[in-house]
Amino acid sequence: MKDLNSLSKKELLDRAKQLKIRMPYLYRKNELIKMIQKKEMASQAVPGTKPQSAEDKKPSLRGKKLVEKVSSRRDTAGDTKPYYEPTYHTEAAKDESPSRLAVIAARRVAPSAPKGELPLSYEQTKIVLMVRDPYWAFVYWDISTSTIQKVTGLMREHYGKMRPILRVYDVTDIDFNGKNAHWNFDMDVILDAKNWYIHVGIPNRSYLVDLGLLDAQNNFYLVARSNVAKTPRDVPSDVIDEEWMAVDFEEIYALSGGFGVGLSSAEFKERKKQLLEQMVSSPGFGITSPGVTSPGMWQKGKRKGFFFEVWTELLVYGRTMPDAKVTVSGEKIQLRPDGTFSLRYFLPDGDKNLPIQAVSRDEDDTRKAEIRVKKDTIWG
Amino acid sequence: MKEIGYLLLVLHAHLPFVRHPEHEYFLEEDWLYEAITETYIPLIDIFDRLVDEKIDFRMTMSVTPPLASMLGDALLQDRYLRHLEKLIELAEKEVDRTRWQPEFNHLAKMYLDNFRKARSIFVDRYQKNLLRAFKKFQDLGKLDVLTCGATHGFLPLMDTTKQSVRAQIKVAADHYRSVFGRSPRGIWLPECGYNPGDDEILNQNGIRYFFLDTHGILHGSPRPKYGVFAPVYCRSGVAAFGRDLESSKQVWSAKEGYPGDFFYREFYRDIGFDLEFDYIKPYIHPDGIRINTGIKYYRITGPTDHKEPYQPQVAREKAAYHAGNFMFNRERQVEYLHGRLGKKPVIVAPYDAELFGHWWYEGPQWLDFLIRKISCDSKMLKLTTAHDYLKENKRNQVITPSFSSWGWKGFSEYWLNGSNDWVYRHFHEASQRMNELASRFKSANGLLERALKQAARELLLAESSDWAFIMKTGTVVEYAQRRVKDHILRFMRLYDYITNGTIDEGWLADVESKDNIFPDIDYRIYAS
Repeated sequence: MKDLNSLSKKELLDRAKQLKIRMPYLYRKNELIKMIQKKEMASQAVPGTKPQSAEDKKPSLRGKKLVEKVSSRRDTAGDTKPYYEPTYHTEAAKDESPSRLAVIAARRVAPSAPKGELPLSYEQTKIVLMVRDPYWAFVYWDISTSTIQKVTGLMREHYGKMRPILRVYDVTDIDFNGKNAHWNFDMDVILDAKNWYIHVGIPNRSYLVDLGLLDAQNNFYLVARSNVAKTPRDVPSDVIDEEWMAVDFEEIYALSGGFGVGLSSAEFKERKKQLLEQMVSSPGFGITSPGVTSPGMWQKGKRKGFFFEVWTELLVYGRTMPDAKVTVSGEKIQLRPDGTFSLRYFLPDGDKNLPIQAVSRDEDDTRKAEIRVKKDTIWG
Repeated sequence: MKEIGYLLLVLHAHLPFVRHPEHEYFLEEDWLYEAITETYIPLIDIFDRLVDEKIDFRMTMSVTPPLASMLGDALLQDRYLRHLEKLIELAEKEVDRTRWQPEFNHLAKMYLDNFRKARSIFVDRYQKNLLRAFKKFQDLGKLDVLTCGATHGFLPLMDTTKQSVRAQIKVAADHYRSVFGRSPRGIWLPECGYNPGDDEILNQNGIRYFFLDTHGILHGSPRPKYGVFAPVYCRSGVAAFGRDLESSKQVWSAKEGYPGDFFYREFYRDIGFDLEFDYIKPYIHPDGIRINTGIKYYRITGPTDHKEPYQPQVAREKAAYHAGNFMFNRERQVEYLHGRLGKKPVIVAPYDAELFGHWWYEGPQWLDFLIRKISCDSKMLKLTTAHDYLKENKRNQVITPSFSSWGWKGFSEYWLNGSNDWVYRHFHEASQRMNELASRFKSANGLLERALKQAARELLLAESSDWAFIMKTGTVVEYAQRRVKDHILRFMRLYDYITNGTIDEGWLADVESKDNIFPDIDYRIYAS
């Protein structure tokens, strides 16, 4: 494979077009390179080679991921529209041809997943909304074969003029009827991504998301409607219970963070954020590896520079009658059933003496040996 | 002088259910064995000594259903003993090998003594079942054992499949009753993940209190008058206690926390990595991959690769000093708060249990010193449990706490990001199918009932937050992914069997023997 890094962004875009990567301008250069590499690999890959089944699997120590993701983000600096972060599963991102919906439709006719892998679709049309934090939500969707065929048909009919979108509604305290949202916004999506992160932007609001198609005349074709989900608050509530009114809530708020008096809630928030970042909330068992999972000061003992260490051990072994009594420096040692023994010592620099004695069972016979060792390490 | 504030210490003990009878040795089972030797047994030993010496104390500890299931499992008990015997053998060899290394020889002897003592506690005192210990301390009124989600599922991300939330709570409560002989009073919500309204489900299961991260209380509505220094009641009547950041920071903080003291033991210098290969080979992974053995000879020393030998006496003095410092800070805190609030504050200090002993080797000693100092010396501070506190303080503010977790950034991101978001579509689908099955087969028996129960187990095991967590940390990602896929695939196969009316009993029996958690599970809880 040619070194893609040496190509200009323009050359990469051309290459991406040849490879039928959709909307390549959405990606940053390094992401694009990854996409192209993947694409080129995929075209050489032999179909049908799959990870082995769970049962044959050894405890995993290798780092290879079964599911890899390519994520990209379009920066929309100055754009008032919320930006988004599409993510793909490799399964979904593999075929990127223009008629890819048709390809998918064909694939879904026989949706049997490879052994040991989960199905790509459950043959239903739905979209599910989940809240990540006060500002972000996540949706995933699934589209049945028959719906995909309809969608494909529509898109062919309005070739180039119909695009899939997510329509995000603010439905806080509303019994939503499709028209009465406080406000809404649209985001372009890639249907095959099957999931999307949405910057909804406002805490403590309820949202609902429609997945559908938008044509050139702004007609919206609904594919699926999500549940309602509410983002959490990011600041104290405005609601004050008269009976339980705090004398100075700002102070209580700051104290609850333990930072003494006089911090505004904004400062507190910043402080807490910093703390949470350096704190190790919920490390689980660390599971033999640290990072966020273990207190940060225990940076895994990876050495920074080159290093070289040498140690020495002394191995003494011998044999006698199995019923003899053997002592080393006066201490009795255990013999193996065949009368052999092995002794192993860390050997520091200097002189060491090791007197060994064997006494026969009837104590008639005694043999002695003294091991004398002089060891030096000459470091160069 | 009577106390003017309370300290509520919570240890959250949890490990995911890892049990592989199909393999003679399985690396990830070591998590349990290491935690038993380094955390659970040292804690039990401390509690036993406190009881023997008639020192009154109050501690709160969650023992999650997966952990309890493993501690009570005969196969894992025997395997732990096998593991410990090997460790004792290694320590014996180390005592000989270090004959000419006086700086390490006494440490080798220390480990040998500790391991032999662990064996005696495990085998002789508790007949290989450490659940007896936790039950005993609870029955004595010293330890408040919390339950948790049945498999530590992160509840906020199950919000669209409430039957899964209900099952996580109900199965946990049932399991708790079978282990501890009474209903759970309190719960540690997995990762402190709380979604407003979930307290209703706790209430339905007789659970009276749970714990939240700081902002879960502070951002509740209406505003909490006492911040996190008094519990609040949810509208369901269940109480919520909020974490105090200051006391968390002193133990958890990477920069300021006690465990980073240079005289404490260094976690990352283990003889499993340091010693000559042929010598250490019988005590590491059978494939020759070096792993931690638990025998470590160095102290943290400083931000350097050069490590000095560990000196247990010095470290012990440090632990005593740090316990004193912690108590001093809490006293100043309650003194100030008592004046400002006009009532006795409760300081909630929760930690992962496995931090103590496993990561922070001196953690159990620190805890022992802290409990003794507060019980014997402190006039201002008293140890309490949520149960005791609520008994004395019945009147509390009613608020709706805010959606929160104690994870990174405080919400769901650690369990919902590009590394792990693919799991939820499968969890939700399986949950809906389980709901369908349970609604359709309200009374099943024989093979059908077995299949339904196993389906519920597979769904629960898939839902452990640990898998998503590991995918994000990037540690043993492949294993975590495999576990999610295996449980979901087993579930789907069971679903097909049940709906087709043909069940492969041989296959079912095999899966039952592997994923044997919750033998008495009531699958009907998934019905709507």
